Order: sequence, then C-alpha cells, then structure tokens
Amino acid sequence: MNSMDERWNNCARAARTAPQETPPPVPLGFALRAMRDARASTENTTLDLWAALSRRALAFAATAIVLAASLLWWEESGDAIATPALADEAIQQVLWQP
Amino acid sequence: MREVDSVECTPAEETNLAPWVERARCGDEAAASVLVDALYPMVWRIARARRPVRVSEEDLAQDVFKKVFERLDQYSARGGIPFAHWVARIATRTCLDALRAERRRPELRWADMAEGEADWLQHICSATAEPAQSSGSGKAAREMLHKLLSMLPPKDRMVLQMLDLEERSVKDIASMLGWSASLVKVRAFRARLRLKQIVNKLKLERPDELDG
Repeated sequence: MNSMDERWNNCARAARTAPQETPPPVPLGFALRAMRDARASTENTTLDLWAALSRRALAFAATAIVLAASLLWWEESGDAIATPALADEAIQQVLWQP
Repeated sequence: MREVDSVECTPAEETNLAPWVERARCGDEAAASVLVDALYPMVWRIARARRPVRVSEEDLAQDVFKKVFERLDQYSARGGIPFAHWVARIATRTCLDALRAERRRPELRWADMAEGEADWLQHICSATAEPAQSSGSGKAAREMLHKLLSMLPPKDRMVLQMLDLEERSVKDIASMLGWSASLVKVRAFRARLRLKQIVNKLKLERPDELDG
C-alpha cells in the first residue's frame, strides 16, 4: 500500500504533465491603464503625505494659540505666579531637621 | 517541467528590455506597452496558478503591472536581478496578498468535483489505483490539486504550489517570497501535515466508497 505522500506525488506529476494553458492576448489599453493607475496612486500617496503634514501643522498651531491665550489671560488676571514661593517652601521642608 | 515561468525572458531578451525599462521610468507609455507585451504571458500564468478562486487572472495581472510601474524607480539592473525575475517576484507577492485578503477559504466537497477530479481525489484519499493517463487526466489532476490547495492557509498553499506543482527549488522559493530557506522547509512540512488532516477529513465524508 503506497503512502499518501507517494499518491500526492503521483497526482502532482500528472498535473505537471498537463498541457499549459495559452495566455489570452493583452487586453486593449491594458498597459496604459496600469501606468495611469500607478501614476494616480503615486500622486495620491504624495497628496496624502502633504495632507497629513498639514493636519499636524494645524494641530500644532491651534495648541500654540490656546497656550498663548491662556498665558495672556493668566498674566492679565493679576495673579502672581506662585512658583518661587512654592519652591522656597519645598526647599525649607527638605532641609528642615529636628 | 515548470508550469509557470517557462516564458521568462532569455538573457538576450532581458538585455533588450533594459532600454524600455529606462524609458518607462521616464513615463513613456509606448515603452510601458512593450514591457507589458513581453511580460504579460508570464504574469498571467503566475496569476492563473496562484490566484484565489474568486479573483480573475486579468484583475491580478492589472494589479501586478500597476505595482511594477509604481516601483520602477526601485528596480536596478545592477543589483543582478533580471527584470523578469523582479516582476515575477512582485506577481507572486501580489497573489499572496490576494490570497490573504480572501475572507473565507472555499470549502471542498466531493459533490463539487468533476468526474476525473474525483478519481484523483479518491486516489489521494485511499490506496486506489492511479487513474489511467488520458488526455484530460493531467488537467483533472491539476484542477483537483488547486481545489485541495485552496483549502490551506495562503502561505502554506503558496509553498506547496511552488514546490510540488512548479518544482521550484527551496532557494528559488525563498528568493521569490523573501523568506529564509529554513522557513520555506518548515512551512512546507507544516503544510503537508495540514493537507493530511484535510484529506483525512474528506475520507470521513465518504468512508464506504474509500474502504473498497
């Protein structure tokens, strides 16, 4: 009794001996279509790249405007920034020894 | 005998293609037509042998040539790879992508088999005698093997197709698919195991006929 591998090989051998199918002629306008599709796809990729860059630049500009506006508002509200006082307090706490 | 790339260009033809590649790179549509005319039969055969069941050869060939023209700038004859081989590599990978994109792999049922195909499947499933060689026998064997292979995962199918049906070397397959030689061997081993499982399942569907 032959193994499945052997029977598989018999079948593959028979398949290889089958006559090759003849490819049909190149469809009309095939090359032109392929080339234009390729060109359009490359242009789309470039456009996508620019669109992505523009979106990022816009997001960055919007964040910068919001930050600048909030800083301006903070300064105009008259509250002194408490950072130096807080820092002094923190240093005193660290250096404090009983 | 290789089923697929018997039409790959000879070195002389390859040299003849070089100027057309350069011109197509500059956007010359006439040069693109010459390249397509020279390579379409090879691409069609690759697509025919390795395509998913529901995709036509022409659609795949269109996709292949689109990618070829998109990446023409990346091709360099100095790299030592013939242009036809470079195109064959793109065609193989496009077929693999198309196989991966298939949402469901087709089911294989005995009832879907034509008469000659069922004889070959029966031969693989049980120890029945090899079907007599006739004019249509080879074609039936090929059709049946394609149906059987289409049940495997894409990479497994591709490896067995290239190893057993096209008799390509492991090195050649590794170069075509961008894998290492050991990966090709491991995948072929696993693919054969999966194939045996599928065949055993098919045997269970028809135990009476196959015992005799």
